[in-house]
Formats: sequence, structure tokens, C-alpha cells
Amino acid sequence: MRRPTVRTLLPTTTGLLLAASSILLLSGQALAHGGGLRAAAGSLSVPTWLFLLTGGGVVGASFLLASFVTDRAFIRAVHRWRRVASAPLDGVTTLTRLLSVIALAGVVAIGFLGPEEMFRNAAILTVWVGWWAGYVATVYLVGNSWPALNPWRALAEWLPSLDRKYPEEFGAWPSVVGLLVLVWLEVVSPLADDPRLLAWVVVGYSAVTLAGALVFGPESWFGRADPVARLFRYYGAVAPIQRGEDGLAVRPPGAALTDAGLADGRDEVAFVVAILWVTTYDGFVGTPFWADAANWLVGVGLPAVLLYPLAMLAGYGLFLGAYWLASGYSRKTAETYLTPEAIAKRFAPSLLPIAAGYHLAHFLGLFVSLSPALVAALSNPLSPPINPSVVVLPGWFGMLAVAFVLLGHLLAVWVAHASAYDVFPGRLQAVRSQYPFVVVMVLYTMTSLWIVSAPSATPPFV
Amino acid sequence: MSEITPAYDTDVPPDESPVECPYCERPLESAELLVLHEGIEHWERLDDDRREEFRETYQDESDDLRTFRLKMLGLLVVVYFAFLFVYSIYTNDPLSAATLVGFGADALG
Ligand SMILES: [Zn+2]
Repeated sequence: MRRPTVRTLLPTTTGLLLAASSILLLSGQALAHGGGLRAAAGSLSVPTWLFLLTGGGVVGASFLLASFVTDRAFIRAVHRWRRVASAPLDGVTTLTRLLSVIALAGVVAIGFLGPEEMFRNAAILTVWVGWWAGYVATVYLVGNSWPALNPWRALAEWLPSLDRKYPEEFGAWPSVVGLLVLVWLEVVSPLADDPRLLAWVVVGYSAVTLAGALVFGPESWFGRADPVARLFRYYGAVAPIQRGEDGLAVRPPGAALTDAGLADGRDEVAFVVAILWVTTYDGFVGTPFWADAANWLVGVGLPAVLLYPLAMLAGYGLFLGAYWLASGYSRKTAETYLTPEAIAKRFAPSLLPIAAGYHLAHFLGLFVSLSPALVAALSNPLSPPINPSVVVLPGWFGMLAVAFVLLGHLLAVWVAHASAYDVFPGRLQAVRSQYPFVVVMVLYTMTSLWIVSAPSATPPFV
Repeated sequence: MSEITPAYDTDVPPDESPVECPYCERPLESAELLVLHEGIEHWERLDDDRREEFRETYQDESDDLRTFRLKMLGLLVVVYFAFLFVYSIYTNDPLSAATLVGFGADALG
């Protein structure tokens, strides 16, 4: 009897996958409305629940498809494949760091002195369009170049350091808190509209970061406590270009996520979950559901100032709890002796492609449409053109965004599958270990598709 | 087939008697899983008998997997047609239904 192999299964699986994605893309057609991710729920060509169910169904189906790939040698070959090129990086790094320190000084100066309109201010456009939308995308699509650019690290290494010992028990927790605080600040303040405020926040972040590096040394600070450096390190693990001991290596996207030790400890798992949560939170506070809930909560006496921090913490607790619950159940379904913590650490990196997919879906449109404004503002920072040109996105851009979300999930399912094969000696055991994670992932997909398909509302009380 | 195995934290329930890997001391849940683990992680250190045992166990596992995959394929087909059915009720766009059927025929044919 002919045994099914990867090659004979491939046409079948691609066919089914295409069918599944076409369902999602067709049902997501309404999202193309206005070129943005959000569309009026009423304009969906199918009921919202069916749209959400289809998204969940695609993720579930992709897990079933991944479970067909049972050839250990094949999975290893895919993930161990790498090409190495040695590049003289150290000399270049000095130059790139020098340039990014100049850029940092420029952002602060233009933030304080440039025009006050957001679409004309080079500091706002550089930070949000150039850096947060464009540069971050290169980190997970190409490779983590942040260590070569990080202007704060460059400054910290030029300055003296007290080299106090970084407290081990702090671990990655300062970076978790830092990430939550930065995103909370972005949501409740006009950080993307007000150049003066942005400049103050950059100054504040610089002061905290340089003080931390001064006390504990740049190596410990940027390796453990700094949220931005850690975020880029994790996003960079999704990318095809990886820096190893022997130089730069090219690997298949996501392959580095299957390496053991990327999330080493409860604190680092907490950071990975925080990346996923802040992406969701950012979208969630823009839904009408949140506007109603916030009004009701304030109506029953909750101080408005506590609203956003509490929502941030409650949702984060929910996400973290769901992930740890899944890890606990995974120990049962896989019938393994591994602790839930060992499982949680091993599979946390597989969440990163999902976060990357959402980031690209959210920000590629922003980057493309505002790039001309960025170029115009940079060419004459102090008096940019009054009406900078903006690219109008074509209608199919919304479908592209749905496709990115989907691709992130598919890569996540595949990474988890490959990691499970690495961890568990039994292949059925490996597949069974994924049941609880698939349930959580399907629920997460439906939640986030619900958020992106909800009509846009202004967050109240900010 | 690397010799370096990342150490995983394990927690064996007190009423169970695990088999332990002689090379890296990882407790395994059954004799079959131990054979598979040794073959995957410590191939270089196994004698010919043990390697033969690994090949047989891996083959047995592949047979189990074939049954498992058939079940998964069945589930996939059920899910697919359930969606097709629901879509035929809720969408009045004949193009999308036709596309789905076309894809389905390609995929299953
Ligand atoms: Zn062993």
C-alpha cells in the first residue's frame, strides 16, 4: 500500500487551504470598504457571526492540515535549513548608531520646534510612520537590525556605567510593565497627534532608559529590562535573517521560533503574551462595545481615570490566564511528564507570528498612505508643505490586511507543530499536545476578527 | 540527530513509575516513547539492536498515524461541507458559492 507522503498530500492540502482562505477572503470582502480594516458591520456580505466562525474555521483547519505532516526528517530539514554569510558588521554598526543618535536628537528637536499639525510634523511622522509602522515591519519581515541602530544603547555605551548587578528576580518583568505602560499611554493620550507631547515622552523614555543603563550597565539593561529592545528581539525571531555565532544566517521565516530557549521563564512568557495583548487592546478600545461598556462602568461609579488601566490589566490577566490554562491542559492531552511551565515556555514563541500578522495588517496601510507626507516633512522639517500628499489606498487593501492576519495564524500553527515534534518523542503525543492551544487560538482569531470588523468608535473618557 | 537535548522540567505524579532515559535522565511515559526518544536524541550512542527496535517502533507509530490522519481528513471534509452548506443559505452571491465548489473539486478530486 502506498503511504501518503508530504509530496502526495501537498496538492490536497493546498487545495483545501485555498478553499478555506477563499471563504475568509470572500466573506471579508466587505472589509475592503474604505481601504481600512474596519468596515461598518452592516456592509458585510455575510452575517458577522459567520465571518468570525469562518476565521476560526480556517485556523482550526490549518491545524488539521499541519497534523498531516508527520515526517520528522522533513520537518527537521525545513527548520534546520540555513545559509550563513559572514559580514563585517562592527564597523558599519558604529556608523548606523551614530546616525540614529542624530535622528533621535532630530525627533526631539522637531517635536518641540516643528509645526504643530500632525501630518506636517517630521517627528510625529518619523516615529509613527517611519519607525513604528515601517521599521517594525522590517524587523519581523527581514531581520532584527535594532541592536545596530538603538540610539539609547549607543549613548549608554559611550557614557560610563556603575555596573551594579541587575537583580535576578526582576527578570523580564520591567520590560512587561514598560510595554503595557507605553501602549496605555499611546491609547489614552494624543501621542500620535501632538508633537510636543511626543517629544516629552521621548525625553522621558530616554531619561529612564539611560538611567537604567547607567546603573546596571547597557548589557543587562537592554538585554533584560528595556521593553523596546526585547520587543524587537522577539519580532526579529520571526524574520528570515538571524544573527548567529558564525555571522548572519538565512533561515525559513519562523524557523528560529522553534529553537528552544527563546522564552526562558515565566517572565519571558508573560512578555510574549503581552505583545499579543497590547495589539488587541489597541483595537478593542476603538470598538462601540468598549464605548458602551466604558459609559456603563463610569455610570455605576467607576472613576474614569481607572477605566483604561483596569481594562488593560483585566484583559492582560485574561490572556495570560488562558495561555497558562492551555499549557496545563496540554500536559494532560499529551500525557506527558513535562510541567505546564516547560510547555508554556516552549510554545510561547509560536504566538509571535500572530502578533506580527496583526501589526502588518494594522500598519502597512498607514505606512503606504502617509509615506509621501513623511518624505515631504523630512525634506524640509521646519516648514513642510501645507497640504502634504497622501496615497489613497485601493479597495482591495482591506482584503490584503485579512490575508496578513491569516498568514500570521498559519505560520503560528506550523511553528507550534514543529516545536511539538521537537519536544515530544511520540508524534501522536505531539499533535495531542496542541489541542488546547488550538482551542485558544481559534477563540483568539474570532475575537480579533470581531474587533477588526466592528465599526470604528472614538474611545470615551480620554 | 543532535546529542544536545534541552533539559525540560518534568513533574512525575507520585503514583506512576516512569522509564528514564539512560543518557539524559528525562523520565518518559512509556517504553515505546523511551525507544523513540533514544532514537531521536541519542542515535549515535545506540547499539544495533536498539536502533532496529527504534525503526520498528517508528514504523508502528507511522501505522497509527495513518489511521489518525484518515480521521482528521474526515473531520476536515465534514467542516468543509458544513461551511459550504451554511454559506449556501446565507450568501446570495452565486460567484462565491461557485468558487468554493470549484476549489473543493480541485482539492478532493
Ligand atoms: Zn535522553
